[in-house]
Amino acid sequence: MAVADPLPTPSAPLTRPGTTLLAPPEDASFLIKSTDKSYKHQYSNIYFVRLRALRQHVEQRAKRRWGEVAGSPIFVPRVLDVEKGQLCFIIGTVYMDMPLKPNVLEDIARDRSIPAPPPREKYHSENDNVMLEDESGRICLVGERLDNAGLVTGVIMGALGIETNNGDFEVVDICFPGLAPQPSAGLAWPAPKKSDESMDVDGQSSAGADEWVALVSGLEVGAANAAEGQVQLLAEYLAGEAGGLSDQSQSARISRLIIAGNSLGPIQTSASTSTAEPERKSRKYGHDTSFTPHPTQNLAARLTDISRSIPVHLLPGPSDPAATILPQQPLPRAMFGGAAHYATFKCESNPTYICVAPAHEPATSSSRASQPGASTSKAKINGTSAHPDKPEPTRSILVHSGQPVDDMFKYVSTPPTTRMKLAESTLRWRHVAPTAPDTLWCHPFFLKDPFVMAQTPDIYVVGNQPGFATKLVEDDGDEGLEDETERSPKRCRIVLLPRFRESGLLVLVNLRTLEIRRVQFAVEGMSAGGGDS
Amino acid sequence: MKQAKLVFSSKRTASGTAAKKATRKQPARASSSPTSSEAIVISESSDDEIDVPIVKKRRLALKAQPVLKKDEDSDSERPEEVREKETLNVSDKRWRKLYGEARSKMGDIEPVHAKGQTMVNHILRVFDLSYEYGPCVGVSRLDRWERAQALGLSPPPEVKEILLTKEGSTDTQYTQSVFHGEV
Repeated sequence: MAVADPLPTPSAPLTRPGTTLLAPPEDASFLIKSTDKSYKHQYSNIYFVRLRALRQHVEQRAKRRWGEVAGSPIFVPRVLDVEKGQLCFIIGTVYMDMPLKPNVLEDIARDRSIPAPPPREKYHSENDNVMLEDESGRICLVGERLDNAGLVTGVIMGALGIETNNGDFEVVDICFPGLAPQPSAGLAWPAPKKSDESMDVDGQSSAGADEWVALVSGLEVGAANAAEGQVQLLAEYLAGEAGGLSDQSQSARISRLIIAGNSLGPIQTSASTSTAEPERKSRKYGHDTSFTPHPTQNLAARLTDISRSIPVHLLPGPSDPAATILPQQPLPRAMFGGAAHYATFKCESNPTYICVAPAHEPATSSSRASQPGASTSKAKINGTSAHPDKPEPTRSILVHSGQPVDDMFKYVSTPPTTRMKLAESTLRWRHVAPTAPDTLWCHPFFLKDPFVMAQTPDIYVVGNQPGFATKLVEDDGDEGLEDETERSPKRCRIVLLPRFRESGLLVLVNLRTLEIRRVQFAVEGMSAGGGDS
Repeated sequence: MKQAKLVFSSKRTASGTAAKKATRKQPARASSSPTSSEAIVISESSDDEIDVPIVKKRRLALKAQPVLKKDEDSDSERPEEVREKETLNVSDKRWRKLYGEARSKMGDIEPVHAKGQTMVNHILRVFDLSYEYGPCVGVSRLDRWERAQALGLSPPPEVKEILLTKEGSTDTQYTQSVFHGEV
């Protein structure tokens, strides 16, 4: 019997690149402090602050775009001051008047003897009206330009047009704030140094030696048809235990894992099984026997396995045990047992900004970061940084669990507008969730609207979507704008993550080049992603 | 359900205790839970050094509740000079200019049902109803003024002066908007 060749092993053990986690900028936090928890003020404060924050950007862009148009349009500051027959442009908040939107008055007035109708999938219909609103009042917008514009309530927009005889505003062109400034755009992430330890594994190019961030969403541990095998495979892959040498060396380049929501599946209630026996059982024991603590323990065990070797960021999602209103606050660390002992395991709010910077020069910091209990080094300017004067390259990642995009999807008609178009539009509107607080439940903010994007993120991740999609949005920048910070070119990689329970997909993003790689986990014979073969 | 007060042998009275006691009593009245007010009672009965850190903790826990009187010395242990608020003079010359602007916003006509309303009332009501500073319902006038200032809308500084006087910071007709209690 021939002896098999020994398995190839690397000459030096594989180590993970150490990234440093920066604190996100002050105004980019979605955490709600205890002083902000007053519910006495009105939701219209959010619209007021949002309009105030974005109006000047729309004005700049509108003046640049329409300043030279024939007919010399003027800017009318108050929406109600437009005069008939004069070409002008106005700026305000879009309000979509849709009869199919959930209406509290209809809910009160409905016939209580019959069960409530199920919530609609789409609010879009033929009888929709688009209005533009500011502090003084509202004006109805008409025109073909608006038909496929994919507008939702809450977008700050500028509209160029003329008031018609019956009081509506006929729109010729529209304008949005555009992509927010991105200070990190020009700063190149350092390419990996070719050290002596790097070995020539088949097909490994220098791009493979870069630093990657892993994104996954919708693990749904504990749901019906949960993909337990795939989650186990995922944990082993990230810890570098699974696969051959090439898989392990690729997994070693992953520096961070971000779980974008829905880690716990929706609870199975006895009503959903809809058979007579479970009901009889639960009456016999006097309590609902379908509750088990196993999903949380299961998830905690997986997260502990993963956290031992890689920093993890966990976001709550629509089916997680967190508040329903956005922004969802971080899940309590105590829920996750062993994983809570690692400082590199972070519970984040939904949505959240995660800012990373390349590791500093000393090799000791990278090995320390992977040990339990070591705190992630914040970006203090220490003496070991090679170039103290050069601004450090950073990458900001904006992640959310998909509720804003799912809600916006109900407003638009689907064949022309896709979810990827909506995600791209949110970048151009400079707002993560414009439909909050209209149809998307939101915390009543008073001082500022944290969903306004002050800066364009480098990577924009939307979790829990039906399918995978990705796009690199680039904006060349406009030299003619008044504000200097707005002129530079920007680019952003949008990633729509599919639910892991259905697809078994892990997405890797290269921090230097913003390329995408997908890793598919499948177990033959199991449904999620493996096919039923 | 009150526990008996503890008596310590050494009673040290620090200087300026009168002011401290006055401000200490304030949080006790504002608290609603019986257990925390009991705890305040125990610590108040002695001025020992040992109790100072405990008192600090209680005060910090209660500071999360909204305190009606906005005085700055309730969060420091050191006896500070109590900043006396000035009394509101409703016919002060300082408000004349702003009152003139308020009248022009009202349309320069005599307001109806406004018997007994002073210049200050008109100024504050016009401040509430000015839409450039955002909605006024559900927030105190000072909070709304501070937000307008933070957003760069340059709200009139006389309004803040009025709101920081003694009557302006305690009387509900001045601190809250015109719709307070009605909406």
